[in-house]
Amino acid sequence: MQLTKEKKKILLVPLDPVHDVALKIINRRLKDRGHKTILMPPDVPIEEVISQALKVKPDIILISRTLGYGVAELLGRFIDLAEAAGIRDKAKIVIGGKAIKPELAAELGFDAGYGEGTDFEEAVAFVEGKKYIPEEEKIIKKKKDITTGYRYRFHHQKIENMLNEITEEILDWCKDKTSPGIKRAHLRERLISLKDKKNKISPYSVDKKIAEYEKEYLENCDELIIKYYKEGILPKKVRVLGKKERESLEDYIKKGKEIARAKKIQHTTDKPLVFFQYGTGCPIMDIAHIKTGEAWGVDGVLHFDPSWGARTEGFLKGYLSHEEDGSIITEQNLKKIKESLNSSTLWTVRAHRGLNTPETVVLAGKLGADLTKINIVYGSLNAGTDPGRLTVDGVEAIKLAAKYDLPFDEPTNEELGGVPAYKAFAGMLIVANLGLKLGAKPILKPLFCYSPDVMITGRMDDNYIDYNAAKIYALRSIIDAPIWPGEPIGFMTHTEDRIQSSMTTALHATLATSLGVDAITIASSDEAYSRGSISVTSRIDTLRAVQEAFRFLGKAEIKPTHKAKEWSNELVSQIEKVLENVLRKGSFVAALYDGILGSKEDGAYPGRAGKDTISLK
Amino acid sequence: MSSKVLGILGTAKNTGKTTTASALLEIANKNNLSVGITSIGYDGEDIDNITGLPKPRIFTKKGTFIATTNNCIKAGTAIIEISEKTKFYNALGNIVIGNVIDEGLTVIAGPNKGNELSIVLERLKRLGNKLILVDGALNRIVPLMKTDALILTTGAARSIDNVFLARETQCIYNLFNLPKIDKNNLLNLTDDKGKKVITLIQKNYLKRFLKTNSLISLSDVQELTTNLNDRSCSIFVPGILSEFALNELIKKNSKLLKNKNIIIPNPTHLLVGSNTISLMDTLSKMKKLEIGLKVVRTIPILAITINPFYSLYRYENNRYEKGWVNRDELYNKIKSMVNIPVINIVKEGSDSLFNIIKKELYLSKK
Repeated sequence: MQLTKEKKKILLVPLDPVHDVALKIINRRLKDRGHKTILMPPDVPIEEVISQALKVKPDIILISRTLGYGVAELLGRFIDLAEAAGIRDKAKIVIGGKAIKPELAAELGFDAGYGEGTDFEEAVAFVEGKKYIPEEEKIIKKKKDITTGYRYRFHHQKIENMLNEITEEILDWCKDKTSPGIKRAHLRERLISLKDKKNKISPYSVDKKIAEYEKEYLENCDELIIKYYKEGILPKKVRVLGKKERESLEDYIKKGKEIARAKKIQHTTDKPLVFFQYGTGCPIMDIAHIKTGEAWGVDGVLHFDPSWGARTEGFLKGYLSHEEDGSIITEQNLKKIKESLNSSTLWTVRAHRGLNTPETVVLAGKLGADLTKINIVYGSLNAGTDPGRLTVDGVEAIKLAAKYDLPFDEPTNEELGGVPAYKAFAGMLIVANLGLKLGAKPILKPLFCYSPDVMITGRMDDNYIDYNAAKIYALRSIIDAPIWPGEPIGFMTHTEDRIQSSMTTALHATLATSLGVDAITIASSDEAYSRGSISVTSRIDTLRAVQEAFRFLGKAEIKPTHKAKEWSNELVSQIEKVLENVLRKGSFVAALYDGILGSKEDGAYPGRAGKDTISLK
Repeated sequence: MSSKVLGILGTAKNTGKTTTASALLEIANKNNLSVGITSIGYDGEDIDNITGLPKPRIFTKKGTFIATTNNCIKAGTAIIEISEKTKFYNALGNIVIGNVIDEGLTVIAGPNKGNELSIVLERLKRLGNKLILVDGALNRIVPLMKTDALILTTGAARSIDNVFLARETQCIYNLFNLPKIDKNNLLNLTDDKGKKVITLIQKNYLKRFLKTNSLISLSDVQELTTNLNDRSCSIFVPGILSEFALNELIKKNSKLLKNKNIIIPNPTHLLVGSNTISLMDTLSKMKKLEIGLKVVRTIPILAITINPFYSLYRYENNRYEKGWVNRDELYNKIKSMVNIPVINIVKEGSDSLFNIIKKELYLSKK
């Protein structure tokens, strides 16, 4: 066969007794591309390879050999033989195998060396004399809108009708009410807009206005916040980041951007997107976690604030660090975190549960977040906020989410307290429908968890698949909406064993992929048992495990048993019943207080923060 | 006075090539001798690529010329100004020639093919270096034939059997002292335009060309035997002459080969395809059968440096540890086999080695 100039003659030599698979793969690829290849049998003496090379006169010799005792000398002798036989000047000689590095290839006298994990295309590129572009450099990651393609059509007429009735009642109840949280949200909007206009209006007028707004803002804040603004006294375990720390952070962000490379964690599917929550308390540490996560392929991150923040009226300001879990929401902290993100990373600032819900949505919207999180029911029953207050604030927050075009997800973490899934889902659907009526885009967030309810009912005695699948089937039979299991998946299946925890996260990710959901939130392998800050290495554990799970599953599917369908039907009829009960009650807020969406027996307790703070507009 | 190129040849990894090169660099600098350096391998790593044990790094002083890759220049602490880029590449990048402008540790990985090394050495010579060191790599030997003289380094890293080491050293030494063929008897076979295949030089100055350039396998020997006749005076093997093929050849054609010459380009063409210990027996056999073995070119081995250190492989933990053989026994055994100086640089320092090199290569200050 006459080879064209571009096509090469390649002698492939597996010098190892057994490890010739890589070479066979390269052989196939080279052949497919029209090159002439001669694959020698494994484990032949190097003199025989030289004889063969003298006969076939290859352009390139590819050798595979695992490095072991005395192998370097053998390979060095091979190169010497090739030179003495006059082959070296005519053929390029390449070595590949375990423990081979370019430095070693140079030492041995080879033209190139490829170690374990080398992309086969790199060897092919070398043969063809082309520049190799690694797969990861070809990846262009773009931000995805999780809600794209969903029309939010109800498939269940009865549920839709009930939800509409409940929504009307909620909106009617809220229409003449306001709260300190809502007032602060609108003041915050004005404050940020003023700063944006600084070069258009005289600085004096701006400062005057800011002072005016801040005064009004503080009138709607708790003592804890006022003390800081007026006297500089910070809450316990909170401190201002030093100048040096901030400078180092600037440097860190700059360097991080320079070396940033996109990595795709999914294998052959586009879904699910993978998120994790950050909230170490320290914005610098958070950024380190985010940058590490991005490097290992995370698609999005969720800002996790301290629990006391949800029970406190108003936000602090400045670059603040917190010595406990949860990173304090301030305009400055959020801005810095946003600045550090890769352009493709989705950013959620959760607003869902406390006294600052509408204001958080304003900050999220103004500072460029992609998503927020609102669930009136969860916030009222398991996060300590008064149901009436959070209903008023939640409705306003949803309106703001619509205004800033922020899709909002709805966690159903009340399941973790013991609320059965159908009650949590009924609550989630009420808030989702509220969102649709107010022009927002809700994302359903069922938990993939080993919840107290399933422990008691024994629904996961055999497997973790059926009941989690049933949840997805049930929601899909009700509405065409994006689904994002969280928060995080595999909740309550983790142990102190990081390998076990990574494994269970990965398996739940596999189920999520099989079910075709849009996104998942994953925990680090030490999230449940870190007894302090989550470690970066544990983040990588689960990201790597999930990547491996995606590789394992590809486009294949997990087949749940018949139980999944049965339980799905059961869930739908249970949701129906809960909604009927809410309607019967005649008031959504009263239904929350009375335990219709989660009772004390279930482990749900109506919150008290913000009680009696609603006022008429 | 012209420049001289000194190659540092090892019998294995960790026999002391880089230690020898570093010592010579240092003493050359002390003696104000302009010096250049390159390597046919990769020198200057902190940790050995194979054993994981610490390795000496090469320290270069201001004014030293180095042929290495552009990437290696970035890896060292010495500041090197690139004076020339070559068209050659190795696995680590483009080979360039640079001048140390601020002293420091250097990573050297130069040309690893003989022909490319020749060209790079010419460039280093033109830059006025009186002495150019070419550090070897592992047991690689062939490209070093482009140098003017060699230092052979051997030691426990090759074998912890001192008797074996002495016999191997003797074999290498003997091969490098093989007689040279008179060029007139070669009938221009070594010219660039030559066919570069095994050639039988016949009595009437006719040449018979074989298909291959090397005698490696039985079929190669068969082809040669078929063509060999009583009019053949010499056999020129431009490629490899393996010990196995040589044995087969003399076994089959001892009578026809009597008083004839087998010619190879240089000793490495036989050495690379042979077991050094049994090759000694083959050479003795040839002597008895009055079969000549000659080289077109050879270079002197000026001295032998020995290194009693070796990396001891531990099966139980799959790690290498440091080990030493008896230093004096190693010295005495090797000394008894060769007529050239044997030096332990770590123990004796490099002065005596440098004096030998100066004398043998007629080096003077810059």
